[in-house]
Amino acid sequence: MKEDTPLKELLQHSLMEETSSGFTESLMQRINMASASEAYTHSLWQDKLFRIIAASFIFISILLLILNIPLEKIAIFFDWNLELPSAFFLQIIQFLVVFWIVMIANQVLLARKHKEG
Amino acid sequence: MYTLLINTYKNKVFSLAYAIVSNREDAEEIAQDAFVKAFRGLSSFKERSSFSTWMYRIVVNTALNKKKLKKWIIVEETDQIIQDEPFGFDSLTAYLKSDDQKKFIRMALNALHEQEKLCLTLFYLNELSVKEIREITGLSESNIKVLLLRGRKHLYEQLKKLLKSEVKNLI
Repeated sequence: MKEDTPLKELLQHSLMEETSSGFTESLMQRINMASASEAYTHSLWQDKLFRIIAASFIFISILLLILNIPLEKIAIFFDWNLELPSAFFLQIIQFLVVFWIVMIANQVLLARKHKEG
Repeated sequence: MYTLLINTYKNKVFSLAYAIVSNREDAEEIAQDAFVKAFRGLSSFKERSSFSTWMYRIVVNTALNKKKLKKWIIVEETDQIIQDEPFGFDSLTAYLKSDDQKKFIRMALNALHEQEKLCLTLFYLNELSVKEIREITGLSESNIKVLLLRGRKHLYEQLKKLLKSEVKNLI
């Protein structure tokens, strides 16, 4: 695109405006306030989330372990007709353990990345 | 550090916002909001484009949101881009005083279509290339060239019309 130099000079001369005198100061004030409040709420939220996930993991792990012990008795009690593969419950437990490990690792990595950033 | 960036870009950012919303108070608010948004998003700035292009994109989006103009209309490319000769803007405004020149240019610019006005501002005032304007607006390069061509033509016509009526009023 060919540049029209006289038009460029004319527009730069006519349209360039200056901000009010206190622009930078009030903007820096807004930025400082925004960054302070962001840092405060962000860390609180992250801490809470991590604690909730960790507590849920421990709770579910214990629950699964407890349920896993009398599992055969429960199956007899309900008199299930559905024949499940023998590795079925083991696979569920393995999946949940892997899921929670990946979830927690992801949270730890995100938190570390955020701290570095 | 960020103060340095603000001082470097504040006038250009403010002028761009002012060209879009045509109101000093709103333009200053938009400029401030854009700087705050840019500060928050600095960590996500990937340097795929220059800082100025990224900053102007934030300004344009903030200003358009304020004006509730979210859609870009794709223009028909009926105009020939090859007719790219300069108009006689300098001879048209040469006899005007600096303040009058500013007044008439702004009036003529405000009479243009939104997209033409924005493309002219980004190209001539903010000194962005057609490629950079494409990054900001999402329009195709040929569309932007057509808008620039039409914008210049319309600006010249508007200015001529305004000056003619001013001369008539004086007589």
